[in-house]
Amino acid sequence: MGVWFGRSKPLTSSSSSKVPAWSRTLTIVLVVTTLGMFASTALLYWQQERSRQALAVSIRTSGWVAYQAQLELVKSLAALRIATLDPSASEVDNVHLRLAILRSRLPLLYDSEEGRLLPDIENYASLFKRYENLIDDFLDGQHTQNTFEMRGEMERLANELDDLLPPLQTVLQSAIAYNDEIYRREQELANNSAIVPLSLLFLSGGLLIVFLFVQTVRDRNRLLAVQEAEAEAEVVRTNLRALIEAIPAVVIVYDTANRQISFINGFALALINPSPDHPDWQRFMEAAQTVLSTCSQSSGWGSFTFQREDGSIIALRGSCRSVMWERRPQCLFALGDTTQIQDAEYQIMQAAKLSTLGEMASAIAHEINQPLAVIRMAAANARRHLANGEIEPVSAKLARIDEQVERAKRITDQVRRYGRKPSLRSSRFPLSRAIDLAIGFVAEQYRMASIRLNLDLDFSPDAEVEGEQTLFEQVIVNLLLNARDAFEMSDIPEAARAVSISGTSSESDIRLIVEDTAGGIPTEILSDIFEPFTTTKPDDKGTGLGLSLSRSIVRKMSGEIVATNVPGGACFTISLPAPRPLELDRSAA
Amino acid sequence: MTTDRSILLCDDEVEIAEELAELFESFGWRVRLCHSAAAAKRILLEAMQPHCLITDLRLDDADGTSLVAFARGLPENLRPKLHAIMTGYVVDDTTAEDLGVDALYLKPVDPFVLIDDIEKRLAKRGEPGSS
Repeated sequence: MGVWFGRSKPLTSSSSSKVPAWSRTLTIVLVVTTLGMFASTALLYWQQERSRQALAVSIRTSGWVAYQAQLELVKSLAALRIATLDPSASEVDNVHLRLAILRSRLPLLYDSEEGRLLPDIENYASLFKRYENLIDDFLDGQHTQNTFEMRGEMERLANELDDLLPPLQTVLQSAIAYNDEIYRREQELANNSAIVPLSLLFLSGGLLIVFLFVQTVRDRNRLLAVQEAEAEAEVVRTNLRALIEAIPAVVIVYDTANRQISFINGFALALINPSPDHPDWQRFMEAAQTVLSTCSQSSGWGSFTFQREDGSIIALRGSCRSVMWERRPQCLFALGDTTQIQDAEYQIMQAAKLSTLGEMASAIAHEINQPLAVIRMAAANARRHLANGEIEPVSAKLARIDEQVERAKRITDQVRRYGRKPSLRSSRFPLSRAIDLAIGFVAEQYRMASIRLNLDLDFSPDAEVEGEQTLFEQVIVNLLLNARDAFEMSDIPEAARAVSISGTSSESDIRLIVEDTAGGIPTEILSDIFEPFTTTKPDDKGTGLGLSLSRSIVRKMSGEIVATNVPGGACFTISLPAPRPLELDRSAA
Repeated sequence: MTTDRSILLCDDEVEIAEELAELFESFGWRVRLCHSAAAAKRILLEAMQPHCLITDLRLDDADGTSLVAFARGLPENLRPKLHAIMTGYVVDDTTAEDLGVDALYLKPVDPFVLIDDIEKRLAKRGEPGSS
């Protein structure tokens, strides 16, 4: 036996579907914005740092260029002064080397990437070019061998180059000042460089916090909703459990795959058998499945009887539905105990039968009086023969008496059979035999009323249907007596009075048609003809329940009865399901 | 036992008719037996003129009262002296007069009482009794 109430799907799945669209949109916007802010911050920081580094390198390099130019100028002047004092070849060569280096440094001040960063350098370009030409002239010129003249040339050049010192100094100082400014700004930037990224980071973090807060609030609300739903579900489960236990009906969950009962409620245990492991339960489920074989969301209702271990028979009516139980598809059987209702119905049917018997008392009496009359007369003749000492004729009389006793017995048997209380338990019976018995019961009535009765059954005498035979005989008797009454209330001539019973069968059903020539059912009551107390007979004749009970009986046999008018009379069609092959049938008891 | 009395018995219950006929014959009656109204009419028209006609109330081909009515409508030389119906039906308060007959007997009537009653009724009408 499993848990009480299997849950078919997680409750959270229903909660998640309740997140509003605006909340989802807000979440997406927050996530995208936060990620975008982070990316922007990182990119900005990287670019700023890279630019700062590149600029610092360039500015420092430009200062270095100015410094190198001034340094080379000083070295060149020093070399020129030395060579002026000692115009040896080596000193002269040294002068040439220094001047060549200086010559190479000067263009860098205004015609290089670093030099162009120097403040106001473009204003000095023409000046530097003039000195370049001057140096070039000296380097390219043919120097005299005269020491005195050579000294004079170098001294003049030195004096010329002296004038270059101030502008170079100015450029160098500007570069230094510029570098200082740059340095100061770098420091300032270094001190303040994180403000923007940090601001962005704070903004991103803030957004992230908002996002997380919103998400947390939403998660908390969802959690509360889930907890509330679970609590509600638990209440529902508890209530349902109490309901299933309290309801005066059989509730069973059955796993058809492995033929195991998963759940039985208390009422069912009390009604069928207190022990869930008792073999009665498998027998019961087989009986229930035979009638309620289709387990679906829309299966119909069915009725069946079951014989309990103590021999008593109970009647049940209900349906089965497919359910998810313990996370797998099973069949839920919900059945009401209709034993008392069926008893009451059968008592009504019994009363109706006895009422019919009462109506037929005259005919029955006549039927019995006939053999009694024969017996009495044969007995009189026998006594007469005995008085005359004639023994042999007496034997024939006794034989005739015996025959008539048997005839009377058949009549009383028929009456007794008809008056017998119906059984709750249904069984298979030969349909043609039941029809014969019903016809035999009304035959005298028909003879009295001069009604011809034609029987044409187009199915095997062994063809069976399932139900309570005497009740089905009552259906046929009711229809035949109704036809008789209709003839008696009509002015149909005796020659035209006829009732026919025809029968056909197919694989799925057996159909009986009872048709008369009594004029038909009044159209105003045709649609209600099977309702209780609907009758065309006088108050002192009939209960008005005959057709209503007939319909109940046929429906208990899972059949249907319909009434129509045909030319000249009424037609009742009874459709009964053909019983399943015996090898497939699982008897209830 | 001899008699000049005759009776026409008409009953579709063959056994009843035979036993009753046998009994009447044992009492010296001339008996004609038939099992339908049509046969009874033919016998009556054959100028049998029975002293008594006993018929079943309901015959296969006609009602017993109609046979009696037919008999009563015959010329006097053909008409039975006594008309009786014998029935197994419950007729409640119905009397012989209601059915248009002289006597009504309910099955299973005692046959000796039946014969005695008929003889008395015939005697009252001045018909010859048994000897």
